[in-house]
Amino acid sequence: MIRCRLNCLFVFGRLSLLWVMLCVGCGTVKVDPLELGRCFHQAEQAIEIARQQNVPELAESAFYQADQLLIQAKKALEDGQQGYGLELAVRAQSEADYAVAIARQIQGQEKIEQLNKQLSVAQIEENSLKVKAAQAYQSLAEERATQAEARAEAAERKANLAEGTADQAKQKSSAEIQRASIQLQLDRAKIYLEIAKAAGSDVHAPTDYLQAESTIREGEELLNNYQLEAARDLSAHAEALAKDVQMVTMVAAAEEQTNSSQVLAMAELTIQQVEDEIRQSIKFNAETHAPDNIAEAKRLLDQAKLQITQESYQLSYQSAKRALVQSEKATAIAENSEKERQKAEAEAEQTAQAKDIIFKLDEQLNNKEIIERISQLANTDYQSVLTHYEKAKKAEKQENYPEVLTQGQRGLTRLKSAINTADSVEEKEKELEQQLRQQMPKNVQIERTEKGIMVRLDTDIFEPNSITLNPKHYSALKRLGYVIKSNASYKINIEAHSDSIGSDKANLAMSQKRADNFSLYLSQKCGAPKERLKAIGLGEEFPVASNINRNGRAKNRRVDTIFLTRGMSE
Amino acid sequence: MQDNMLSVKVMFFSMLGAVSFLVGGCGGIPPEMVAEQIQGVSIKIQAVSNQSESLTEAENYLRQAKDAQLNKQWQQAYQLSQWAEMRVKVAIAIESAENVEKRADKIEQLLIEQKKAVELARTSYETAESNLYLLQKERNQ
Repeated sequence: MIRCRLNCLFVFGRLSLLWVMLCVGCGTVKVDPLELGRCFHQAEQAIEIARQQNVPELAESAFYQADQLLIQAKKALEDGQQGYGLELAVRAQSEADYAVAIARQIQGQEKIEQLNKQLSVAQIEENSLKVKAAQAYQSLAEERATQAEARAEAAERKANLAEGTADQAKQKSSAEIQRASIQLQLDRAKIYLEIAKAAGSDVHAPTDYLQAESTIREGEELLNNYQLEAARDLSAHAEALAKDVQMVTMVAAAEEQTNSSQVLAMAELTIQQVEDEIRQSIKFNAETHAPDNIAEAKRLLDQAKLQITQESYQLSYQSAKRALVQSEKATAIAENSEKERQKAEAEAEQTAQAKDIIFKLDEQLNNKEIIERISQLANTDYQSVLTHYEKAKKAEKQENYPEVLTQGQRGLTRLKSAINTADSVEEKEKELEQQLRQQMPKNVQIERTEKGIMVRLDTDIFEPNSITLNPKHYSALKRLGYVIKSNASYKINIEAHSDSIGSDKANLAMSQKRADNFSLYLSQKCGAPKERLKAIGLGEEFPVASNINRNGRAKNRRVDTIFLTRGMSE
Repeated sequence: MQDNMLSVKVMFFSMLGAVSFLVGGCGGIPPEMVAEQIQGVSIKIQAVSNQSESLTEAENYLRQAKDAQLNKQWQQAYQLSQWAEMRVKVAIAIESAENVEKRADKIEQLLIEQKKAVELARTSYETAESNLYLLQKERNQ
């Protein structure tokens, strides 16, 4: 019973599975004929490609499966099961492609194995060749060493041979040197004898001459026979003898000639000195300054020359000496006179130059237009000009003309500098004034003063007894700050004034505080560099209007900002 | 013994039959199974790094399967996802084949280099031999 029930269940299960397969394979899927045809074509093509690429041999299982799937697909198609046929065709294509890929893998692996084998063989071959090469290089090195050894032995033999030859040559050379030395000694002896003969040795030392001559001959004979030791001794003796002969002869001959020759030489020397001295004195114009002395020197010189031609050497020498005294006197007189003349000329020239400079300075300082301009625009230079001018005038009174020249030249230089400075200052002031007029409001007073360009802010810039700035002037102050900042070469004085209400001391203190506040505002709020600003409180001392009425007092409570274009700080 | 084997077979096919009956007879494949299949194929596609034709086809099948899933055509979605899986399998096999081929190319390159090294060693050896011969000849002269 149980077995029967189990069999029933078994049959039911298998039938259900078959039913599912049928449902999946053919029951419910609608197939597009074009799609079906494409899939079959692709499957056939994939299997054909696989076959061409020798896949059946390499991936037999996969290829067989693909082939079987295609056959089943065709059969299903013939049975009218299009869906099932499509499913099998798709599977067949995939299996065929898979078989191709597997075949590629197998081919690749085979190739790798083959290449690895070849690689191993090549590595073994390389190692083998390297070993062989190493052995060959070793043999080569050994061969080279053997040959080098052989060459070294040959060289040593040659060196020994050469050493022996050198020793022989050295010995031979030493003998030749000795022989040459002896020959030289004998030659010197001959020369001494020749000199002695020329000086009259046959008269003054005939015996010694003959003895020396004989000794030289003996020495030469010994030398020719290579008796070097004996020849050396004899040649030294011969040289000493010949030298003595020469000396004796020369002394004797000299003694004869000394007296007359010496006097002649002295006379000639003195004449030469006289001629030189006369030439020197003429350079100093001695013919003008010492005519008598020069004439006497010339007369005595002519006389000395005449006496030499008459062989009266002693008299000639005396005349020449007297001529030398006269010519030296003439030179001294002429030299002094010439120096005095040159000095007088130089002094005269200096005096003229000094007077000329004073004249030029007078002329310039009398030009009111120039003086007025430089005193205002370049006062420092102008004061310096005046100082130098005064010093020059004082020196002129003392007739100290070098000092006049120095001071006068300095004054003129300063004057030129002052004129240039004035031109420059004027040009800069014009530019600054123009900038200020463009920047500042119209009611602000801008003036050129003796210190520079002044910008005056008055009319309730400060309230009476107040040190606080009136806010309505902030805009003008900012513009002023901009101009100060953009003209970085000038220092700025900020001069604050008060009216006369209150004590002098209190007004002075208040004006100083006002100046400080004004300066502080410019530096902190308006960008003006603090280090260029100087705040000065001047109190009530410099009013610009009457302090009797309110308007006048308002004008006096003012702040003057002065651009020091003329180099003044106060 | 035979009874035992038979009872195991009966139990297995009965359960399979019941599931199949439910799946096939009661209106097709359950959506969870389709979703699981599609997800599995997606993961496999992402793991493939080359760009083969099979991979493109797999992606196309997967896209179509997802469309069918959205339209609740569970049967078609399941079939398309299976096709996608088959194409992925092919793509993976192609990728493996390409890797093997690349390795083979690399070894081939090494072999070329090795052959050059062999030639170099041979030249060195021949030079040494030649120099040695010349030196020996010079000594004998």
